[in-house]
Amino acid sequence: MPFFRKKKKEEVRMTIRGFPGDANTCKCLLMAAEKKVKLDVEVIDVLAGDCDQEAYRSISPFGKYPYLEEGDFSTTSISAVLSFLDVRGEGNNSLLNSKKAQLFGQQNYWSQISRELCEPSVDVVVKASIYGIEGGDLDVAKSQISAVLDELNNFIDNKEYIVGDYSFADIHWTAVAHMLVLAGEENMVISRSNLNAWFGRVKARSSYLGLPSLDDVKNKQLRSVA
Amino acid sequence: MADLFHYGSAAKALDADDRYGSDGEMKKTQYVMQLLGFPGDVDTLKCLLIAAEKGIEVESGILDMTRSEQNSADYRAISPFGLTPALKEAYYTIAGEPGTSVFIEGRGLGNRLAPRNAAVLATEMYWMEVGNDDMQPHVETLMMQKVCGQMADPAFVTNDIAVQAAREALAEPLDAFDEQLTSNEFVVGVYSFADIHWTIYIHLLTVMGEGVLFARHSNIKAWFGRIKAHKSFSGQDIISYSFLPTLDEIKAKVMKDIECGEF
Repeated sequence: MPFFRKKKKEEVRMTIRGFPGDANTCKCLLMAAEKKVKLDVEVIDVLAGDCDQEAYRSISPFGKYPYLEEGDFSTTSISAVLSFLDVRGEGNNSLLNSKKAQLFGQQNYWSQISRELCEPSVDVVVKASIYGIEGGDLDVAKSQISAVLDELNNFIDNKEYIVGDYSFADIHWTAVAHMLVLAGEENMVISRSNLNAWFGRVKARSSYLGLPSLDDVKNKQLRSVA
Repeated sequence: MADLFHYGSAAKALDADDRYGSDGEMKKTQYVMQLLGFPGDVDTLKCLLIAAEKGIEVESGILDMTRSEQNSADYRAISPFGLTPALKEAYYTIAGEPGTSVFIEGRGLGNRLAPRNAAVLATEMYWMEVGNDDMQPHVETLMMQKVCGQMADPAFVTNDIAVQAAREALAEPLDAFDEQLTSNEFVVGVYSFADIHWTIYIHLLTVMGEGVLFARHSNIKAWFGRIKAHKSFSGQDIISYSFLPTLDEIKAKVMKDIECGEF
């Protein structure tokens, strides 16, 4: 009988509250799968204003989502949840943030482009095509998405992932590409050769399988990350 | 097309006597960083402050946002979507605050600003996001209405309704921030990126004469006192806060270079 037995790593199990038609929630599902975190899910219907209800505001004062809890700890907002999952997940010494300053800078640049310049337009398209909610000019939104995708397509020429290795930037853009697919706009991605090749690579990762289907999004349901 | 980074050391011959690094003093980088931004721009100032905290010397260049230079073809050649600020080191260029900040941080001296503990890191990110979403737009509104609007057009008339709405919108995040500081020396305990972000919001409110918005928040005032006396994170004998522009400097479109000196 051995004197020492390797201590079994404590199982990481968390609960997330999010919405299947929300790109940020999809990013958290991706990150959890990439980092092998078991994630239970609860839906907050942001279209019905759940995040503005008093009960939700009591745990997320500014109404930010997704919301994540693990034991006594909880946090909310996409940046906080992604960072927490990244560090708490498997491979503590291989965080998704690049250690090289130049790549880290590029990763955050493309994450900013996604969040500020693309996702608001994707949201307009998703709401219109999946939920029938007219909340903005669809032509303007698609034009904006196209302009950003053109730049990204040029940037990733000869790159396996957006900044080389798989990173936070791929998490952001996988969610964007997936939402476009669900909204019936897959052609915006696959018509651009570099993006199409990149999308093929991220779809081949097991993490992609956990993203909500069109039925999930329509029925406002999320699946746990096992 | 003009090269907007053609200033300072970059405009001097490689063997010029007064070129950066020509005195033989070894720095971590042999290249000086050039930061192109505007002294009234929140994102520019976050990057400037990070450089000072991390012991990175920076030559500042003015991108006159009151003349919409961020939309010019020359700037779009650097930053295709007009994100500010932009930074260049040797052959590397990056734009936008999130990318520029981590690049400077990674190239700088000393420990990382981002906490290693997952919960503390998440809390830092949360307060940065509250700042970005719930503080920055209103600080920028005040900057436009009270300072930059007139700089762009002398006939500009301040929209008092917009100013009042911005002040009212700032009340909730300032209340929450004050509560967060109740038992913390800095935003998440240790000095972090979250302090950098909130330093800029509180500094700009102060120089715009809006300090009354946090006059009753004793924790914010005590924290701001600590920030103003905070020595460089990387150990240099400088007070990083002293590099931030005054109202007169913003109006004169002047931004200090970061010179770090000795440890």
